[in-house]
Amino acid sequence: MARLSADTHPWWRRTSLRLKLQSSIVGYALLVLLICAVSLTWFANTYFHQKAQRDLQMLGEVLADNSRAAVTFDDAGSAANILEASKGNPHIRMAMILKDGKVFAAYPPGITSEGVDRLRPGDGVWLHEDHYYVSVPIVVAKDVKGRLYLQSDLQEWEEVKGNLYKVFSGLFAGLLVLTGIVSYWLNMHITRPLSALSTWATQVSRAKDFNARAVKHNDDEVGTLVDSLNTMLAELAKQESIRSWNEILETEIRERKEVERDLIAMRNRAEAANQAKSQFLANMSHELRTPLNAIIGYSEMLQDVMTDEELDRVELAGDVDKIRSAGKHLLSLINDILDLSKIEAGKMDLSIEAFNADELIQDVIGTIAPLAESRGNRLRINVEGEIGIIYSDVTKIRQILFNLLSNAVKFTHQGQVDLTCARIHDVHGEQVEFSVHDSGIGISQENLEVLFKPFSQADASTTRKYGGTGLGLAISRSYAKMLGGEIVVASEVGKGSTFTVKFPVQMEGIGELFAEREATGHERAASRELDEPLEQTQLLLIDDDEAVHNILQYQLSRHGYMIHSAMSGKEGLKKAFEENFDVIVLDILMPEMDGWQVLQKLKSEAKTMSIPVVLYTIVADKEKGYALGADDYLVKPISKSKLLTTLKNYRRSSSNKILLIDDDRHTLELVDAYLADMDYQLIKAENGREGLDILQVEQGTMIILLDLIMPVMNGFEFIDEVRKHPEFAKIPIIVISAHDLSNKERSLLLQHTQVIIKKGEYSRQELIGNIETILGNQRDARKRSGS
Amino acid sequence: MGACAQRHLSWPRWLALGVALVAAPAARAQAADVAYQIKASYIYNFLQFVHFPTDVLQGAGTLNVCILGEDRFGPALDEIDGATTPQGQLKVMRLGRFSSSAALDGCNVLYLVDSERQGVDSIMAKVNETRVLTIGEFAPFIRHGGLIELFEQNDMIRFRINEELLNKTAFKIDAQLVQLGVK
Ligand SMILES: Nc1ncnc2c1ncn2[C@@H]1O[C@H](COP(=O)(O)OP(=O)(O)OP(=O)(O)O)[C@@H](O)[C@H]1O
Ligand SMILES: [Mg+2]
Repeated sequence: MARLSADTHPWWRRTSLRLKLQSSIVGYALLVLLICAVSLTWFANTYFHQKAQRDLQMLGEVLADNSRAAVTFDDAGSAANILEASKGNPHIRMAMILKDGKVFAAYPPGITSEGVDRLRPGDGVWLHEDHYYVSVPIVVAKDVKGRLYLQSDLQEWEEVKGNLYKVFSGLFAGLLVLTGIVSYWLNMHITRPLSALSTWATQVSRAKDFNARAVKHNDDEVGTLVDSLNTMLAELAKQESIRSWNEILETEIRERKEVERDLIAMRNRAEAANQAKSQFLANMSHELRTPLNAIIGYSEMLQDVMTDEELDRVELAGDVDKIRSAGKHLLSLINDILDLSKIEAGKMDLSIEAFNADELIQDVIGTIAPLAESRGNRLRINVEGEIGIIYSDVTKIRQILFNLLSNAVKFTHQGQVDLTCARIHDVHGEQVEFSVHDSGIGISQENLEVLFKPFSQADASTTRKYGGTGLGLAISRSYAKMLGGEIVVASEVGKGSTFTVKFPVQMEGIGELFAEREATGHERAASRELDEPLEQTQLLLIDDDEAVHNILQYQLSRHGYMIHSAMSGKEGLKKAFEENFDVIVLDILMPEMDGWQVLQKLKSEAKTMSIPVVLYTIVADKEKGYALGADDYLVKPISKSKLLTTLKNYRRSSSNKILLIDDDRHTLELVDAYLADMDYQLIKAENGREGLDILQVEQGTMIILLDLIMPVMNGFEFIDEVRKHPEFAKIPIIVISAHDLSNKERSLLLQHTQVIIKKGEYSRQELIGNIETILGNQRDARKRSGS
Repeated sequence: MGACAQRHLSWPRWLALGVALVAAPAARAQAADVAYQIKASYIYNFLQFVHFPTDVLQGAGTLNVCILGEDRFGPALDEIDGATTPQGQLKVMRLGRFSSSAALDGCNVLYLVDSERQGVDSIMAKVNETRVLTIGEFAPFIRHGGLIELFEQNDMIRFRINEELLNKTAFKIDAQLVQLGVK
């Protein structure tokens, strides 16, 4: 294209700058010279001719005038003398006086130039055959006495012309020399630098070497050009470097993409492997928990039996407890590993619900207190202000707190462990902060960094000395993150550690979604409770501590208890006389009238004598209590399940049929054993199908205890089937399973079942408490509808 | 122009005639006539090359030409009588032979005919040669104090001019004329 356009350019565009300059200089000089020559010649010519004419005329006139007398007096000799004067002018070829048509005098003497007068009649100058002629009359007294003729050649002009030619050729030669010099100079200072620059530029463009720089010799336009070329090159170099950067980046991106592809492939393989692992673990969880459940359950039962004072086998109780705690430990280990693998697989679901923080704390403290005690640690709980209801995953938070507290207790000996709880407001919004402080061994700086990594323990000796797997904190941190919070740690070796976990009071985003779903689940459960006519167990709580009232209200009201509060002994007695109560819960340490007095008074009055009284106190004096007629003795703090189990004995209840569906024989036997001394009729089925058949046959089943993973017909299918039969649809279901529920399964189950219990993680009391609550509700309802 | 033009026009005719007379082979008498005709024209022609100051010319516009001696001119003088020159109109006065009572005062030009050769000194004594242009047709007129002396040479009439007098005259003589007369 460029080539073509170059060819189509006119020749003068294609000729080199040098040639152009030279030719234009020469041309210009020649033109000037030519114009000068022509005009000068012309002027000279004109001037010469005019001058020649004028001179000739003048000479003629002078001669004519001078020869007047000679002519007048006919003196030819004198006339000839006069004419001879013209010999001073070499160009006068001839001078002649004609008188009366005849030659009167002539110069040079003797020439006859006949007919000169006829060349031109009259006066004046004329040109004839390269000669000028002039004819002047000789006038005397107004009479023309004769005529003077002069002839002049043009020799002078020829000379002038010759001289002009010489001058012009000299000028021309000089001009050529000057042009040569000028063009040499131009060549040196313009053309050569330019062509050097152009050669250089061509090389640069061919070699693509944008870092080359042209050398600047002059500070003229060429210099400026050099500057701008260099600037341009710098710019190009920049562009080039950008481009090469781009190329590098591109290759990097390409490489990275390949790596990414490999990684994706690897990830996919890993995911597949992980999937397999998760599947394996899920199966294992079920397979492992089921027998563990039996071990723990039986050992607990054995323990109960051993501690029974009637059988004098207390010495064996310790051994049984070891079995139980080893089983518990194994179970927690399994749970931890499973949890971690679930977290890692991103399969850990959140189950958001509304719960009371105090209840949670009590729950955790109840579990951790014995541990603290066994390590000689003092446990202090400090709740700052009102925490209130929290929307989050209570199971996860409980686990976090348990982990932190168990660590604190574990790594502290004969020390102090504090749990501080506060509701705070910071940049992230409303938060709950739990802080666990201990005065234990502390953690070194380098260990702080790896603390939250799975299977990391401060040092190898930790395992030997304190046991554990190093999973607790890793899981806790993952949970905290899932809940939108975090765990931070501050510690000093030998002084103790503080772990602080913080998370939003209300989970946002998906949290709300879950909360909503949970809420609707709850609502359904709640509305079911309301739909069914029920009579609550009337409970009178006599305690001066407002917190106890709140906690019990919260813990018990959902389980069919109606709490009546009395803040002092007097008030309690008054209420007890006025109303009918099914059970009275009594605190001992109260101002004015203490629990002992109240108890005595109650047991002495006929109206209140038969109302069971449960002492609920921190004073550990069982003997005195029982002696004064108390029915049960509970030491604060106490877990909810323990409380429920205790209280259920005083509920308005009667025995009934319970259907237990589980494929695991150990579980069947365990539950059978759990409920053996209760007034229930337990019917067992080994799978859902069998269960359904039994439902058809056995009328009046009050409650179904259901395992989920079973052959033939599993728990979910069973629930579906049951819902199809209106006569069974209303039978409450308690799910007891080792299966890890997904959120979907959980919310599905919550819609159609009352309680979900995890195998291995419930005690006899818990199970009975749940059964009691449900049965109590039903009985009450029936009673009410019957009356 | 009037009369003047008249005279002027007649002049070339006369001259042509005069020249024809000079050139043609003629009788002696005729030759004498021709010579005086030429001399008459000489008088006229001299006056073409002489300039009189105004104080010399008494009568304004008139040049008095006095002919002293036998009248040998005949009608030739009539030709120049009344002719105009740059000085003024010519007035020819024929004074005849010289006598002591002759009145020469009014003459601007005094022509001495050959007949007066003898009494030239007495004539010249009466004439102020610096104020009057004197012409004589005999030799040695100049030696007697005359200004222009006519003579014949090769059948041609020539003249000489008194060089000594040249710078003394009150009138001016043209250099051309002097050149012709002084060689
Ligand atoms: N309160 C504490 N005081 C001192 N060291 C602690 C404390 N809490 C945790 N650690 C250190 O951090 C390590 C990791 O704790 P983590 O709870 O993850 O595991 P673990 O308690 O050893 O085992 P487990 O899985 O049973 O909880 C512990 O082994 C211990 O070295
Ligand atoms: Mg731990």
